[in-house]
Amino acid sequence: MKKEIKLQINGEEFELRVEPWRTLLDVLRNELGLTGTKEGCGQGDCGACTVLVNGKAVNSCLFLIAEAEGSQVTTIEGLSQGQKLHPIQESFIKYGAVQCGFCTPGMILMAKSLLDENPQPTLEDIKKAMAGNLCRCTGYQNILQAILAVSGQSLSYSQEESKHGRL
Amino acid sequence: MEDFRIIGKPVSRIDAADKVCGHALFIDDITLPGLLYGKILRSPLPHARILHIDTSEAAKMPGVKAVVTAADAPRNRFGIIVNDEEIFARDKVRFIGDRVAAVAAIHQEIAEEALSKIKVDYQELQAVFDPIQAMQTDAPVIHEDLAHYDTGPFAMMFRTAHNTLIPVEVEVGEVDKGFAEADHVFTDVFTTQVVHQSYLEPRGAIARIESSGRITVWKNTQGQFIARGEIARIMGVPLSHIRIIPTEIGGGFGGKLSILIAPVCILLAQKSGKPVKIVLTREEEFMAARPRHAAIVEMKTGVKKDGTLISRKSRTIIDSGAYTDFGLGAATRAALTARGPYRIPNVKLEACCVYTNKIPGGAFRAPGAPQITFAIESQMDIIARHLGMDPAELRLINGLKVGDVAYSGQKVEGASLDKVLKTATERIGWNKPKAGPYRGRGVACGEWNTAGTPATSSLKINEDGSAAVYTGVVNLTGSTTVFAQIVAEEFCLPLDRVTVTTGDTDSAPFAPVSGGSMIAYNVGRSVLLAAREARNQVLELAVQRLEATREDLALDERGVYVKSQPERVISLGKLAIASMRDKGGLIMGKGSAEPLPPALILIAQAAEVEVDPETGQVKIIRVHASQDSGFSLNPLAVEGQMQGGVSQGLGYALTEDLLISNGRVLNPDFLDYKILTFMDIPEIECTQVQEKSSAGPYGARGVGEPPVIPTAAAVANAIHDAIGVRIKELPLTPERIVAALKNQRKR
Repeated sequence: MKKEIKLQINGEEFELRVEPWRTLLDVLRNELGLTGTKEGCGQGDCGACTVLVNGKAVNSCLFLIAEAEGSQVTTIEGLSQGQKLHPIQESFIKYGAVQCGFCTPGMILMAKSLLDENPQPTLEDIKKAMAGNLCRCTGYQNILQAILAVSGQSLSYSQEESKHGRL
Repeated sequence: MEDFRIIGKPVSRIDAADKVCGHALFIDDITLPGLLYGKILRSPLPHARILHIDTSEAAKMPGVKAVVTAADAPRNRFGIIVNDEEIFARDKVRFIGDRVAAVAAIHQEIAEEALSKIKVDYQELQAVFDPIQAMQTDAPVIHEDLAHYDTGPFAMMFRTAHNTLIPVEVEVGEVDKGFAEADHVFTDVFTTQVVHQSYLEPRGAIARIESSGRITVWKNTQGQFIARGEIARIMGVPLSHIRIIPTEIGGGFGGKLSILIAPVCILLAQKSGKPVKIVLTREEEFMAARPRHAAIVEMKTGVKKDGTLISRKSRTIIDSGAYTDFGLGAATRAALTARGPYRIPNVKLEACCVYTNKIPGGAFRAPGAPQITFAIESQMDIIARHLGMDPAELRLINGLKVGDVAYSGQKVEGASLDKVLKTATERIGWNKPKAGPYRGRGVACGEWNTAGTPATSSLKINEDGSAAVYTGVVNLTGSTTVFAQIVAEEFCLPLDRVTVTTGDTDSAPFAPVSGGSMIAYNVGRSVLLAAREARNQVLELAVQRLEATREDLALDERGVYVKSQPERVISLGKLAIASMRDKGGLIMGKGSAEPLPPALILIAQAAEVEVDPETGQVKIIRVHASQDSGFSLNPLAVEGQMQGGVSQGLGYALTEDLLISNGRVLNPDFLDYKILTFMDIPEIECTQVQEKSSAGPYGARGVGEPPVIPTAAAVANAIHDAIGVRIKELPLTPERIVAALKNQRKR
């Protein structure tokens, strides 16, 4: 049973006619050909499918298209302006935060959601915000560097032993 | 150190821009006209005869275009090392998840529903889940034809016993005499768990039958040439009948070597007449792909009171699961490397690979090495503590030095174990006072051997002076960037004037699988050779054009110039055009040569931990990884490999465990199978000790696998340093630590 759903994706208006129980991920990838958003698990555990809905990060594999009615959705395709990359994208390239690239779109959007809300996050802030985005290739170090760099900070662990034992 | 422009510099990956924009196309992003979606029906039982399969209901469903079973498949067995599996289980199923049938339909959902309509009659058989039990002669036989199995593409020697494959063993000197001469003999048993590669991108394939009957397969494989050979053999067609197109790969770590899907897609495509795509779900990855093997290692070591290792006897039991896949490889490596990076004059090192009715293991970053290294390096600390010796000192006394002969037969040419070990201990603050009573530091060493393999690459110079490189290498760990760097270096080009194309089995020259830490070493060299051949042609043409002698010519960013009169110069572009005119063809270089000798990579890691004695929770404060991969062609890429490997090593040490009960995987999802997240990651510091290799390009050696090898042992040793308990099982869970502490208090 298809339903009409109106929403804005990357600044463009869409009027879709789809089954309302389909996920936002499925509609983006298979209806609209926006394959930049990835499916890593389909269960909301890995964050590879992260997109922004009204500026807030969601796991699009668990987000029903019906819920997106009237919303503004941002996918990775919407981040660069033609040839001009977003500062987060530039930073990921520069700091070696991209290896296989599969987790990258979700990572970047999650980082954007964080930085939009908190432009000067601490290392702890970043770790907490990004905890739902898994990466198997990089060990996270360079992703942390890249995100800190966008906010004009650098990754440095204190020389003395940290009180909490974990940074 | 030579002054290079671009090789040896920390250059960003040239494929990163596409990836940050979401433009890179992975297998599931690819669609074809008329594409059907396939789903695989899997066995719900660990061991059972297949009595009857009725696919009629499923085949009748609207939208279903093909249903296939073993009846549709050629009777050719295959496997990476031992040919012991078929496209579908034919007479019986051997694990929960074994492939039984498949459906292709116009929608994914229809294919899934059709699976439920396939009726399979099973006769359940007694199953065996424990490898030690499986080795006993009264255990159920899992592979009746074991005695007749032959070898796959990665051929290895083996003999067979009950449910068991036994590779070559290593025997040097006289172990029993050595034990008799020892002052102390240590006997320990270590066990390690099943862990999954957990690449973020599930594996997938698309098969299309061309009008000639030729088969085209797109897949996220780590090695399209190996895949082609195997799939051709499986389908019973000539090699040239198959074309494998490797797609952008979202992580592999060895797991995407196994052939699990493509033949199913081919059968469905042949039957339906349409292209068919199958992509595994995350659950299927965890229950039916090819994770790292669990192992039991028995290690007996004799040592003199001054710390000299005299004698070692070891046996590693690799729990293969239902099929061999890379199990024999893990077992062979465990036997070959059970000495560790040390001098031990008397050894008897054995291993075996045992069938059980569980998920088969496969290749995962340094197969066999983390298992055997956990045992070796844990026991080194046990020995050191008993002798009242610094664990680092014990390793230094026995460590391989330059000139020693390693297990591969190669002389150690680069760093002695000293250098990597000393860097690791120094940087972790080995002798510094600890910040608290439950803090500890541990160190562990490891080794890996980069094999020499055939490789061919070619390149051309375009009319605008840019260069194009042709390779068959799947860009797993950043090889395309390194190849571009090599060519940019040799021709004084900026990096963005070099393209690197990974071709398919029709269009690319040969490349080995992207794995084994082999690519930079072997294929990097072939790219360098191709560049130098093209460079020769460039200089030949310039000799004519500039009317100078060969010796008087050099290259810079402008092109070829005369050293004695630098204003006389000709650009690469002009030379390319000259080549077209005078020689009727392009400037092209081809590179391949006799395979290189194997190269030994030595590694050491040190960890600092804090243990909570109440809960047994372990916090990793810091890890320092030190690795000698020779010259770092791209230090940013090498660092990335080290950080990623350590992260996987920490998961292996503490949090990852594919739990299997009565053959059923209990945690087939990222919620309950715990890889490290941002919250868990400690400071990971890396040192790239660059002792040049005599044979590799610019002095490089392999990079990718070693970083995962010693981490778990370093953590176990650090835990012992912190709270005085020795855990000999992985993972080092809070439960095990608390239990060990309780035991300690009792004594």
